[in-house]
Amino acid sequence: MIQYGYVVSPTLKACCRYDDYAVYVDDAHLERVSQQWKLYEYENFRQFLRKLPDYDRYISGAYDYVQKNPRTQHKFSREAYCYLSSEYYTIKKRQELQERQLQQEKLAKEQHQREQEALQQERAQQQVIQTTYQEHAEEIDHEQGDWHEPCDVYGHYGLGDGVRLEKRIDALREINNSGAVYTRTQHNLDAAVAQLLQLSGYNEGDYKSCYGNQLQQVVHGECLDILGHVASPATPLIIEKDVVVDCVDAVREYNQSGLVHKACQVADMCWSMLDHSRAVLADIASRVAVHSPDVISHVAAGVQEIVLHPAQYIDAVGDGIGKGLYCAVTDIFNHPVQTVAYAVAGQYILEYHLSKVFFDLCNISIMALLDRDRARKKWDDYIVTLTTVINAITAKKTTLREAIENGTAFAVAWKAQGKLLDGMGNLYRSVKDKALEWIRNNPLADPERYMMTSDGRLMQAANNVHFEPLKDVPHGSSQKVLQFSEEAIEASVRWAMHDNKIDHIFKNVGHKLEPLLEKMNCDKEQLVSEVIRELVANHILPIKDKFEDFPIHFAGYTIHVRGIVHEGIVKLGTFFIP
Amino acid sequence: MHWKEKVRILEQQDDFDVAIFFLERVIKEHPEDVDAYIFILFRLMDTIVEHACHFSNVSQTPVSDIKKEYYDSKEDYYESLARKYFKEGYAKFSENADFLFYVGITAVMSEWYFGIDRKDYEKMLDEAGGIDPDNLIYKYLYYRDLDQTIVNNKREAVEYANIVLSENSLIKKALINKGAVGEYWLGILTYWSKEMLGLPIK
Repeated sequence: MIQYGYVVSPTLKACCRYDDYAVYVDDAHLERVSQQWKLYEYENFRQFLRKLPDYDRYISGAYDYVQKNPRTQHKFSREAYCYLSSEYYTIKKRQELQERQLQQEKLAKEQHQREQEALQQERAQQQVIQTTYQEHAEEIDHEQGDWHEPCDVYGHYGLGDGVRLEKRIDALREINNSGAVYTRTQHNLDAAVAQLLQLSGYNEGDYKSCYGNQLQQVVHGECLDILGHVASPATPLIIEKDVVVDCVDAVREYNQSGLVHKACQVADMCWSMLDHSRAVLADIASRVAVHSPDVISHVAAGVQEIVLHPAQYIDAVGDGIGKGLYCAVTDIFNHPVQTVAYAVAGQYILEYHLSKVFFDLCNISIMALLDRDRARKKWDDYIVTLTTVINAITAKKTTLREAIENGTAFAVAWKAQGKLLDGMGNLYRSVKDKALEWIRNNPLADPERYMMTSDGRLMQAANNVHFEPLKDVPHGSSQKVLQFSEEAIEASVRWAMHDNKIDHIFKNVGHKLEPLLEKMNCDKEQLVSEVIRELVANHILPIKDKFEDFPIHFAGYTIHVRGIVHEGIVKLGTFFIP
Repeated sequence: MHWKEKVRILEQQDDFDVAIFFLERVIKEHPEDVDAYIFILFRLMDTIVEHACHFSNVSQTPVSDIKKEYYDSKEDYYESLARKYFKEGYAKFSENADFLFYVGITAVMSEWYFGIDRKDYEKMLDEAGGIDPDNLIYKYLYYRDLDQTIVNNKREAVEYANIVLSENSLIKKALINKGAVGEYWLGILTYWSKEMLGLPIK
């Protein structure tokens, strides 16, 4: 039988009626029959199609065809056309719905996967934090040695800082006695602190929660306390706010990576920056009233003088204090004993903590450039020193960046280190800028006069760091300056007089040592001995680190020396005459 | 052009950082080439320890102060590379006499940059002599340490000094193939030989 030109195969699978004829369709011809648009006029055909799995596709195809060939429309009855269009839109809606559902399921699945991954990542991070903390437990115990003495001093004079140190000691004791308990704790952020973080370009979210043990939670609390002080208009801060905020963020990074001993060192420096401002005010106050009979009433009288004539003394303390001056002055007036303690200790403590941070964390050691007695009359020496420190910090940052680019297992620690270097760099730049501005405004004034201002005091503290880093520090747990005994010097000479080392230093024409050797009758041991003695006498050598290109003056020559201090002796790497 | 020639050109132009970059690539491409490790370890050590002297006393560049400052700032990075390549090289070539000898004499400059101490490089130098006892270049350490008050010893040392200074010395030829470290060692041998023969150093 032939219908519309299709040969119906003998293996029939489906049929419908078309007019009076039966249409028999087998699988092989379904596709082509479905495109016989005339057939859609028939309910029987439509019912037949509906049973087929590709019904949606056939209807869509037919509808598309009608849309694209308007001429065929009039060949369809209204009823057939309505059927087609209504079926078409029903199918479309159903498909859209299905797609939406599929999309939602897909999104939900992806979200779930992301959450799982984030959870796994967080667990892994938490594990790293715990391991890092455990690996450095000894260093924290060591660092703790530095907390007890100031704690006693602060306690004796009733200064606020003792409380935070006590909290640290308690938390560490708890960890040592009962074990570390790691929690994620939420912290409320003061609106002023949130604004300060925003203005400084830091994410306040990082401060709202902290994962860590008891000590880490205490240190995180300290971060918020320091920020609270910095954000408060009542705090007299002679150090740029940004500098302190950079350093606080380094504290947070160190703390949250498990390097709590480092976090504590930087936090201590931040506290000392706050105390320093107070110390400067106290000192200025004490200088104001020169006729008072004893120290305490001396300060009190000075403070009273400032309270009575505040505007006059804003100039005396320099810029950057503003309204904080009044609050600080009142505080000084109410707590004269503490004020004296701050005045005595403030600058010293800042120098101590700056030194620790520079040497222990930034690993920056710079030779003494400044003859302090001479420098009282020379601006250049101060500025050169500041520039040298800034350059050293910049150089550290460059190598740090390279270390990160080359991949490191301690990415978080490097990040914290980077922030710390930012803070230290900004501190020194700001000190230098302020000094230069003052010189511009007071071209005839000598450095001594500048040192009377708050900014000058800061410059003094910043300078002193490098000359006597931790000399005379009362608590000796991290004594950094070696006093070389005669035995140590002799051992250093013996170490250098090794044949291979002598070959390297003296049989190298580029070192240009021949004229000096001739002057010394070729006595190499004598020369090595003199070099080491000069080095030890005139330079601050690190306790256990390299020193580079230290110039020493001997027998009319300048000799550049580099090497390392190791196992208590000086090990020379090389030296040459430029 | 052989990679050693390219390194020589870069070093002549004071492009130590480019030389280090290039030598890292040579190691990547020829990880079993012992000379690549010897070259990079000397380049790193020499740049760290001697760059100040080089830019003060040797280099002709008018911007030596900037270059010195630049290499000052790279010290930590180069130290990390020196430790890495020393560890890697030693793991591969701890039985190779050339590696033990040339890296040993490089370590003398400031062994801490390789993360080792004096007895480690002394052991390396001893082992190199043990593996290749007839190597004329390694023999300097033997002649240098001879007691010169004994006539025979003095005669042996003088003979060796003459060999070092002779025009077509095998020692010179062999050392030329070792790039900057060869040049460095030839400098020391020449200095010692002139001292031994009582000749002016310059």
